[in-house]
Amino acid sequence: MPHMFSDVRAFQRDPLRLLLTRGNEAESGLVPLRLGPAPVFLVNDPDLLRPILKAPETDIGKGKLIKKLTPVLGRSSLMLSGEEHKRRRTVLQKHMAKGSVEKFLPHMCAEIRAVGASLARLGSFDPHHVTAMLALRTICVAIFGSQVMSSGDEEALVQAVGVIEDDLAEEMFRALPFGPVAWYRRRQNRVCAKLAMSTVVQRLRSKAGSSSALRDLEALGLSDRDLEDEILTLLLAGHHTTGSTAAWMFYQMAADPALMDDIADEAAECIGDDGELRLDAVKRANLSATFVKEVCRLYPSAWWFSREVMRPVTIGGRELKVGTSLLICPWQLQRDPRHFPDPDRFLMTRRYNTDAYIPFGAGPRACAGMGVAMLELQLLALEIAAAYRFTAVSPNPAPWPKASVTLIPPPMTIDIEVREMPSRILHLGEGAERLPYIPSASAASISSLHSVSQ
Amino acid sequence: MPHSLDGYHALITREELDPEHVGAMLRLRKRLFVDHCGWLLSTTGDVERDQFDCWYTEHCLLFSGVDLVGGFRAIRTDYPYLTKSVFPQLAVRRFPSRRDAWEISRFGVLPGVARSRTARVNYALMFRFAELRGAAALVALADLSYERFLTRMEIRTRRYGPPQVIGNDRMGRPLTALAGEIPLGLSDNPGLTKFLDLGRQLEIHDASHVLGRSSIPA
Repeated sequence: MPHMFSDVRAFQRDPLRLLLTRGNEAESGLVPLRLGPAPVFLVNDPDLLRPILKAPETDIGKGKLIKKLTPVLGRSSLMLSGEEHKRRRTVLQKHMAKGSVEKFLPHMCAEIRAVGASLARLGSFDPHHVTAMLALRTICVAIFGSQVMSSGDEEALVQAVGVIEDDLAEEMFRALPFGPVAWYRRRQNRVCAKLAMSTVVQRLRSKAGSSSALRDLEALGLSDRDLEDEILTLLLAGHHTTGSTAAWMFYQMAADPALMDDIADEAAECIGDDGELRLDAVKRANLSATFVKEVCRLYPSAWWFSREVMRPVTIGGRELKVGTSLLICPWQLQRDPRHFPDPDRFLMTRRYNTDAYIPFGAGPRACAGMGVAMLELQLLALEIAAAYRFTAVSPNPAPWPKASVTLIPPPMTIDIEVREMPSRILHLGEGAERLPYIPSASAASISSLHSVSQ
Repeated sequence: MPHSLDGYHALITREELDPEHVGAMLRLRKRLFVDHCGWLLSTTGDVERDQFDCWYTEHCLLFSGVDLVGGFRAIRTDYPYLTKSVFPQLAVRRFPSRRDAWEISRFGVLPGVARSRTARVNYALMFRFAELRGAAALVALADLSYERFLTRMEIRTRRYGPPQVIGNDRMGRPLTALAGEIPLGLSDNPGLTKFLDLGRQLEIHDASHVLGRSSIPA
């Protein structure tokens, strides 16, 4: 017999399956979930998303679930609302929009090539381990103007995130409080992790470029503590989510070698006169862009987010009282056969112009880093496919991801080898034949390679 | 000396034979690689040189009219050369050490209005030089983007090993380099034909030819 906790066990056992099953089986609208005394609804109707996500924060706010992240994210823009949130978000959007980060394309590509080279030396690798690190480097470029993090700091940050994420994930939906010993142990874990992350952030502040996002945040007059929280949130949100999606991209390329070959061909068509990917060509590279979108559909890193009713409202014909939680689950919406036929299948022929496709959220609180993430993921696909082949992946098919604060890929092993130059030489126009290699003023070269080794 | 190919002509020489022209080339390298590109090379005054600029090094100079506009240096691989000496880790198999394989380095042309054209002629000079020396392969150290450029130009390459990170550039970007060669047989590399055709139109003065100075007509 249903009671107010009757979904808790199923939720704790496998939240992905519970939400997917409930959302896909129920009629479109608000699906009640029995996860505790306060009412919780899963929103499985895309038509309700805009009214919910664009509602005034006085009617529908971020809610109490997200507040459980406060011990880690502090007073960052992710946790704030109102004018202060808008003020900070304006700065973030200025630096994170796709148009702003495009200038970092050569730098991002260089970072990707470096990671690719190290993977090829290994011969096989677990994608999530390396993609998280790569995403961290890329977000550093976007925030600080260059990759300023040492390998030791990278490792410390990634490990600190790993330490706290499981704790957070369990607490997010916990109906009953922890006992005192467990509470103390978790608190100590977080204190240690936060200390490690803060130490890294303090080091990074001194290295930021003069026109970086960090300097603009400083210009807002934030306290040291707030600034630290903001940077930490950017690093965490920016690397962890993209890193997970990138790992799934690697899996899909490994599982479909023909697709990887096609992406390599597309990369060859994007090459400019300096051998680098051309921004204008990348913008027109539909295959890799679609590939990224489909991976984001099947494996949205931010697989859920929530809102809370702040004053009585009517949504989807249902009257909702104050304190009601609205759970929005891209994982479910993007695997709902009503919006995506044969939803569990990876298909490159889909269209994504539906409100059910929200891998980066929607509305005024949509992911500020969407632009940088999409560009980064597309460059990753193009650069890696251009230079390497994945020859095997195990397990295949991959198990479901693990539901944590983000969607964590399971451990996988991918075999990698250097791609020989394509047998099919691209035939360029007569005009292209007149375009010899001209290294850009800051590009690496035979000579500079020599000099740096001395 | 008659000039063909829109006034381009070339000189192949060694420092002991023609210190004046080689000095000009070392100054051009300083202007090009250090001043313009900002590479961290050791310089003395207005000259850029390293330990591989020595008695066995051949310097190829490209002129447009009377102006030196580009060039490269070439080292036979049975002598010590840059890639093998400084980056031995880049080869899984052994680096070549033979008379018919030459290493090309410090390849570049000055920026200017006709830079694309000049760079193309410099490539033609490089392959013509290889033909004149009876080379079977040109060895080079390059980054991945350069290898992709060669593929785009329909020039096939053979790697000696996988790419590896060997440092950072002045912007802090990691440098991912590989060592490899361009095989020069036309059956292996038909894309060379157009460069060789162009190179054969180039007036080249070969001062370091084994049989003495010679002028190779266009």
